[in-house]
Amino acid sequence: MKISFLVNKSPITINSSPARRLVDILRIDLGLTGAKEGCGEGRCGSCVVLMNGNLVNSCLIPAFKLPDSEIVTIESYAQSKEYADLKQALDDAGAFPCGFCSSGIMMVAGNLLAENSSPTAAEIREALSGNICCCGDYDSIIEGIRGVTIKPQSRRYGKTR
Amino acid sequence: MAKPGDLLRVLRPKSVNGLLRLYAKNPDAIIFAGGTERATREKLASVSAESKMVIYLGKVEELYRIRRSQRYLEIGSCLPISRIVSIGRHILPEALSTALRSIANPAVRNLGTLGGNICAAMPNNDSLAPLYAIDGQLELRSVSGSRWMPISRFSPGAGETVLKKGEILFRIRIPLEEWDYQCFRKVSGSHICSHSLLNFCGLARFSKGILEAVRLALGGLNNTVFRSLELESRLEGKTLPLSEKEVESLLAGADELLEPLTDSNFSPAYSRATGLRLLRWFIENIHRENR
Repeated sequence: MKISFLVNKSPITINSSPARRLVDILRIDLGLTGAKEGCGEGRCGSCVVLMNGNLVNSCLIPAFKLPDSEIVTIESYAQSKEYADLKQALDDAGAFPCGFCSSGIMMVAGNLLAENSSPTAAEIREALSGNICCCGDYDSIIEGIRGVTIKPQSRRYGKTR
Repeated sequence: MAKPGDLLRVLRPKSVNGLLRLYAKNPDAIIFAGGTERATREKLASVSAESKMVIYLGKVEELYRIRRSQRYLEIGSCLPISRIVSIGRHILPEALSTALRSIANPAVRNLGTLGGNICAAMPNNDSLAPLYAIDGQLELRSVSGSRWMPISRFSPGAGETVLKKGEILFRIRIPLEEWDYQCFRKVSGSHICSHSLLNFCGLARFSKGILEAVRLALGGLNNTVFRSLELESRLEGKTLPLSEKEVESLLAGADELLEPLTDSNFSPAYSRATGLRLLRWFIENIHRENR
């Protein structure tokens, strides 16, 4: 099946079985390995991408849903200033020891901050409810995301709760 | 040589009439909308291995419509759950809104549809208890025409529906009644396993200290959602607050009516006790609201 769609604003046409999943197409066919496969059933959030502006789990998108869609992956978001600010704030908070879940969490956090520039901890927790981080701690991640709205020199991680 | 998945044929109707014609011609095709139940690697592989045909509903615009009248809200079966939630609690019944927001996580809610949650017909699916309680109606369509039915008649058992070959769930009708108190409560295992073990929806309307109308629905206890008009009628007309004797009598009556599954992952005693606790919690909340 020939499938044409946009990935990170570039038009792509691939030949794929209709039953292949977007996460496999991104990682294997297109070499975009930022989205990771964790659980493979929409629970862990490691494979999250934007599809037509909405966060979706790329492990749950078969190729036949892709024609005419627009996909944005972490590789594109990572080029933005917003990403740089978020990454710095998360680094400052000491989040992400291993980084496997980080691309999904960055996508979710970036999407949240685009819609709500100063989310509460509860709103961040709700947004991250589909992202499983097994080796970090959520408090650091939440503080990091909240820290984006605070000037770097004013951040006092661990003391702002 | 073609791989199994290459043999999968995907049809993409662009109108509901086109969809119904295609489905009538191919009644064994798999209907696919959000795909949160069917798009895991294993399930896609099994569809592909059998070289089945898929009818993808994503282009059928009529299935994504919302229509509101004074008495009803009608929701197209393929509308993603996140879009329904965004209608807002001031329009959507609060118990249903709470239930929908508790389904899985935001990314899954962007894909999953209300129609899919209903058609999966698992009694612990979170939309079902509120839809039973508010007397939701379903419109089923096929090339032969349309029929409406209460949601309580849609699923005779876990994973089963009354959909005939070539028939689809077209839309869900939600009565917009006023309730003084609405609640939805989900009992689930853990953050990672977000499926409900049990869920409960309760609605109450009261005036001048009299309980005028009550609706109770409990999901996950048995093969279908539990709702008992007998139990509801025992509460209606009572003066609030109920005495402890009245509460105990009601719970004893509920205890007789509940028939928890014996072959589920948790014991019937746990299901029964949790169901009764949720009922007591609902009554206590009505008392608080009525003060």
